[in-house]
Amino acid sequence: MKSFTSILILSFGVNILLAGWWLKSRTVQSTPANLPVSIGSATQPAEATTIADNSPAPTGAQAHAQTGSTGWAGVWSDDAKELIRRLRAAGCPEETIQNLVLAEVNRRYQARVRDLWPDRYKEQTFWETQKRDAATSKKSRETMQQQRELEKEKSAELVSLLGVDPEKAQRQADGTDSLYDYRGRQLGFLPESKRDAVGKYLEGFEDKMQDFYERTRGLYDSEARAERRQLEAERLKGLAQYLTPQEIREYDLRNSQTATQLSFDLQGLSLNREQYEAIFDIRNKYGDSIYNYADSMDSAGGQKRVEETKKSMIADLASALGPEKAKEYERSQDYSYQQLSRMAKRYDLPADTAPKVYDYKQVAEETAKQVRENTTLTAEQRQTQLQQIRAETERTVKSTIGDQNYQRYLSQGGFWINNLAPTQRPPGAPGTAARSAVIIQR
Amino acid sequence: MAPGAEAAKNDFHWSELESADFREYIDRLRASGVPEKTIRDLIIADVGKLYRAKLAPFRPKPAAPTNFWENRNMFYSANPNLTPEQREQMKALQKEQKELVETLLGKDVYKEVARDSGAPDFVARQFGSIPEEKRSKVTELTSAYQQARSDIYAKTDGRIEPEDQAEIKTLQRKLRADLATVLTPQELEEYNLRSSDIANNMRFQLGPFEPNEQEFRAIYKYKQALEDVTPAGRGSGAVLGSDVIVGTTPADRQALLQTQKQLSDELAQALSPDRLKEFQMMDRSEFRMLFDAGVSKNDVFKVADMKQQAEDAVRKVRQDTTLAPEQRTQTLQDIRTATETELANLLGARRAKAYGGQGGFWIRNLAPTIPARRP
Repeated sequence: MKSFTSILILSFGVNILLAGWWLKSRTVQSTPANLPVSIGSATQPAEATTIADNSPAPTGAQAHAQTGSTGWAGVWSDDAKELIRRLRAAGCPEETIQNLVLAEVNRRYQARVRDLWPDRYKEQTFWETQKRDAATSKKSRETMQQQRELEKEKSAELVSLLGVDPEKAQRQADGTDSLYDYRGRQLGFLPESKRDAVGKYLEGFEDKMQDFYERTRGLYDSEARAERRQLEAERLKGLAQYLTPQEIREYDLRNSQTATQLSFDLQGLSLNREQYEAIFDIRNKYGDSIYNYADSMDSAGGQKRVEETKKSMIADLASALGPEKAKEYERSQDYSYQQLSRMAKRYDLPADTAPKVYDYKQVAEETAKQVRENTTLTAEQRQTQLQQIRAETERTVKSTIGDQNYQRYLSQGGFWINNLAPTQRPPGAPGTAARSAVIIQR
Repeated sequence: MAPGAEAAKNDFHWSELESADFREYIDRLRASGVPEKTIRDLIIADVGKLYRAKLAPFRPKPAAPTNFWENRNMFYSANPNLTPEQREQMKALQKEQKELVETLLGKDVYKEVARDSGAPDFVARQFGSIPEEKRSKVTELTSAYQQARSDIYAKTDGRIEPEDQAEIKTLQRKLRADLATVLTPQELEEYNLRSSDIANNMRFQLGPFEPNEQEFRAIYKYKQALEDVTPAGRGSGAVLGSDVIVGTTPADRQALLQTQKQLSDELAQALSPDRLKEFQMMDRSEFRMLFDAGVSKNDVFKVADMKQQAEDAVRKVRQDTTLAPEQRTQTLQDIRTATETELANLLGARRAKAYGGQGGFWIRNLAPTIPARRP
């Protein structure tokens, strides 16, 4: 029996050796010729730092074979700080210690992140759909907040162990750290001492905003808009606990709803700070009243009121910015102008193409308006004149941008040309009969 | 025991493990009893460092800080950072890095890393049962497709022309054809169910519908077939009659409608009548927006019934030649008013009004809006 056990142990040992030889030779043989296999001088001398781990300690059989030292088993400790201390004592390069500690800490935090998002980490079938109900969204927001807290905790632990958060240091070295720092981008203008408190306040308030968005999904009526304005005012009021009036103003100029809207609306417009502030204040003054919201159109004279408000705003802008810049602003808000600007850029049209066509548009629409309002004309005369305006405009725009671009423009942005006068269809053209059956007599 | 006493007893020094040769270094780490997962951590980090320097020129440059008054949000923006050649160089380096790690630590190293971290098996989610040896080719084809599609979007600067849509459609068809050269028809279907744009959209759009496997497969098949027959630049439509289909000639349009009807009939065979109706609701934007706003399934069904009844009634009135124009107008207005009232009772006045302006355009089409009286 004793000899059988010895044979078994011997056989086991030989097998391990064979497996080791096979693994080693396989790795060498499969190395592509052009791949580097040298580390070079990747490691650096030790400086100062620390780690954590809960991986199983190696067995005695794995102890260092070549030198007879206790190897990894002698270095290993379940206590991260002790492990780091031992690695340093063993002359392990600081960079290797950081890699090792970072991997272990990441494993631990990944497990905690998994616990936060059980649905994301479970087995998923391809037919499983995404849930987008209010309760799921709220839960996701809360969990995301917990995950951010975990990330902060992890970073603090790494700093405590290693004296540095290696991931953050890497991002800083790569110049990508600011991409991860939303709060920094939002509050970077504030003194460092205020950022944390303000950030926490804003995070708390964000919950209120998100609740509001959830409650008003699909609604953007006057009631919802008023509630949003009220919430924004409340947020600014709350900021007054931390910020001076000037700092609140600076926050507002950068982060308010108006600021966000302007970042979309001012495409292609080059402004200095004074001009931006002037536009910002004027837009705040007029608020929603310049938009053709369906609910504001319901009341008598709604459309007219919007038009008059816009005129008044343009007058304010002209006096604040000067007529040229105000015109530039007005033009930049026009959808058809925006579209043509993009087209001009893409198809290498001359730089003045979009402004030129915008001027044609202004003239054509004004002339058509006069014709429509001219009560001395008969219906036929009016139609004839409108058709002439449309035909002339089509010719002019085509000659400016070319036939092919004209067709592109008509499909996106050039709708105003069709609105100058109704499209004339030859009698009996397809669609005419079907439509005439449903025309409602006035 | 005093701190450091253990280390002092241990005559081990890290320099015993160090080697300029990766394979030698790994051998020594193993021999020293370092656990495999720690070896993976160390080697992947070292290789990462080696390649980080090589990849540095291709990393996106952080945007220079701008003044807040110059901040502009772009809906679409081109990626001017890399030329196609640079992208190729970057991809080649990333591939080389991955291969080096696999050479040193074994083909399954990344699987083991994922298993260690407890991450879900994203590869299985993406590929299903597609054999390992085909996956890299599939990845290569799909990433080439995604890059080509991004290039198209980048050049549009937010203005997508019909020719751009046609180009994207051509790309999609090419991808399917290319994938068919690598995968068997069954593998291709399994892959598409997991990773195609259509399937991804379905998982997003069909949230409250919660399809089972058989339903998902049937709807996917239906949508893919619709996509195949629909000309570029047109929505594939949803259910027959829900979208206006415009072909190049009346014969084209007729043929398209015929095919759509056939596909709808096939889908009707695969789903129960109730589930078909529910899917049809989810698939049409005029009802889906109600689901998205949190309106219950039952109430959305009621809105759909309301629409059907109102439109039937309007059709009859419009075809009734015995009515005088004023009578017709009045009757249509009455139908619209009654429908609006019923909707307000069901959804609440606020939601009903919002719906009329954001998806419930069919309500306006029942009868013309009476303009507000000018003061």
